[in-house]
Amino acid sequence: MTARAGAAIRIERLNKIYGDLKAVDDVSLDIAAGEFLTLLGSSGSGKTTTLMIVAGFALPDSGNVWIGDRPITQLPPERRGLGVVFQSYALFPHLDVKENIAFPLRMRRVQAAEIERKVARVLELVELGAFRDRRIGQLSGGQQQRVALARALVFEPPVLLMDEPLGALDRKLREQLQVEIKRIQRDLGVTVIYVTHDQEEALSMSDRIAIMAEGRILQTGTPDEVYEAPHSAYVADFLGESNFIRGQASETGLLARTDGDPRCMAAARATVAAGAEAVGIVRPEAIRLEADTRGLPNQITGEIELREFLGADLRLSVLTPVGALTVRTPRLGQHAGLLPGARVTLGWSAEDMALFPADKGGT
Amino acid sequence: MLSGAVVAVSVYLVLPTLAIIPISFSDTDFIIFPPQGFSLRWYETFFTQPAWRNAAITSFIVATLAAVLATVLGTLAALGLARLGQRLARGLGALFILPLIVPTIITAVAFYGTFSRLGMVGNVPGLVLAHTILALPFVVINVSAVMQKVDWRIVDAARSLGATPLQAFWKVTLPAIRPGVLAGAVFAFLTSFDEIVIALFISGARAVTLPVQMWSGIRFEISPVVAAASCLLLLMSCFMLTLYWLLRKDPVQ
Ligand SMILES: Nc1ncnc2c1ncn2[C@@H]1O[C@H](COP(=O)(O)OP(=O)(O)OP(=O)(O)O)[C@@H](O)[C@H]1O
Ligand SMILES: [Mg+2]
Repeated sequence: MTARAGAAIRIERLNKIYGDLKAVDDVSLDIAAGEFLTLLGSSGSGKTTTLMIVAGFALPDSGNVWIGDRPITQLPPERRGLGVVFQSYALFPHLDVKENIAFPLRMRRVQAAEIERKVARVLELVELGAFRDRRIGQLSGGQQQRVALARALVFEPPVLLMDEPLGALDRKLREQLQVEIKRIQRDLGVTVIYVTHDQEEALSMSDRIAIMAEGRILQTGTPDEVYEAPHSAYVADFLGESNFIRGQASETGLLARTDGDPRCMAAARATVAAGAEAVGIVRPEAIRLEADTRGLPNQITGEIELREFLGADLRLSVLTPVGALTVRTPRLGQHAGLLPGARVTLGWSAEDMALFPADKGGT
Repeated sequence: MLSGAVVAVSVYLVLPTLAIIPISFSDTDFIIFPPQGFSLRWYETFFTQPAWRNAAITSFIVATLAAVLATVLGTLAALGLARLGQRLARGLGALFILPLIVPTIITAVAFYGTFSRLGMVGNVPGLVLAHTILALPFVVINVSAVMQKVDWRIVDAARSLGATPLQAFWKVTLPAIRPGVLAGAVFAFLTSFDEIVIALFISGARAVTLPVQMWSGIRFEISPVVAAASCLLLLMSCFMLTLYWLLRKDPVQ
């Protein structure tokens, strides 16, 4: 399969209402040709509905979708020419592997010899050459997933839509296929809209991530952007682990609530007016321990409650006056010897604490 | 204990059926048990006497037409039911199994009343229509059962791969529900083939089916040809079921 350009996708103000539920609420996205964009969100946030509108299985109540400069909103799915991979794979159980993959070519009345050639090529691409004549029921989940991918790619669509394609697989296989999907996508240059609720998957695969909640897109950006600079407490909480410190916004940061007097903390990024209820968010890996805290504006002591072994990292849960804080520290680092019961000093910089309004979805 | 019960019930179930077989090969003019002698004369009678032969042909034609009609209508109905809302589907689904629940005699009287006025008593079309209604539930039930197990995303997948709705139906939907359709067709055929109550009412003198002919055979002659007919009926059932098992070939396997 030769490298070919994917097509840009333009999604403009999509709305879809089921009963009194706004499943998709004013969703707009511009996706560049060859880009890998992930829709990330919790269950029921409208990811599948958005994808199905692009695929043509659901009609939006309003809004438009373009592929390149071609408006497709009113076209039936078979005339959109997009590759779709479903979470359940949706392979045809009565056909074998090669006939499943040949299906889109037969629909396009491609000549037999050409079909043979293209099927062989795409089978090679997904490394399934030996399984050509197998029945679908005789394949493992990972192999079925590859067949689904091959079938969606064989007719060389400019766009590939994938709805939680790895959702049913175990972790190891998932990671392996993530790499493979990424490689194939780069080689072919196809534009991808990928749906998942797995944040690690989204962070590792995407060029850009759009985070959805309740039918809306909360934030769009590269994995680094959305992880480093979340626009809301919800996004910060959804992507990776976060510590939430509650209190009131002040001129310089946060007056954190404790059992006694509030504590003054410095925060760099604030989207809250002074005096309003606010929540400060700190990533567990941004918190320093003991001697490393020297010179940091935010310092607090507490007692280690829990020490979890996560492989490369240790996770400490520390009970402090502002609540339990989670800290990540390398297993091979100097603080690996800290045990439950010990008192420790925690510290973090102002840049590592972001302030958000308290009402907006902070857990 | 329980396995003993299984054996006992099985024997109880098949014994009357098996008793027919030796009788059909007997040499006597009357049905006696235990049967005496051995001959194929009653089978010969069956295939040479026009009354028996015609009855067999009529039954075969009626059952085939009723099975085809019930299979097409029943499959479409099952597909349609699945597209309705939960509550509506359940209500209408109950309607479709009504012929199974209403005593056949009531259905028969109703058919007789209606069909006699329409001039459809004593001919094949009347029988076919009546048997189609009787057979419909078997098709609807079988197809619906198979549909439960199908991942309907395959139809969406087919569409995304370039199939029109009609192509998706022939290439994907139909193959997916094929086992249910086949099972429904076999049951529909057999339902019609050995149906007697409705046939007694509306077959008249010119469209006598095999069960009706056997019924009169028992009443007027009590000759072992009835046993021979029974055996052939049994053979037909076995043949249809075997055909079904052979054709079925579970696509998931
Ligand atoms: N056909 C439908 N009829 C009614 N409501 C629907 C329909 N499809 C989806 N919804 C509702 O729309 C909302 C969004 O659903 P959607 O399937 O898009 O979520 P999702 O983000 O894909 O979730 P998940 O991660 O669980 O797959 C949900 O609340 C869902 O119940
Ligand atoms: Mg979904």
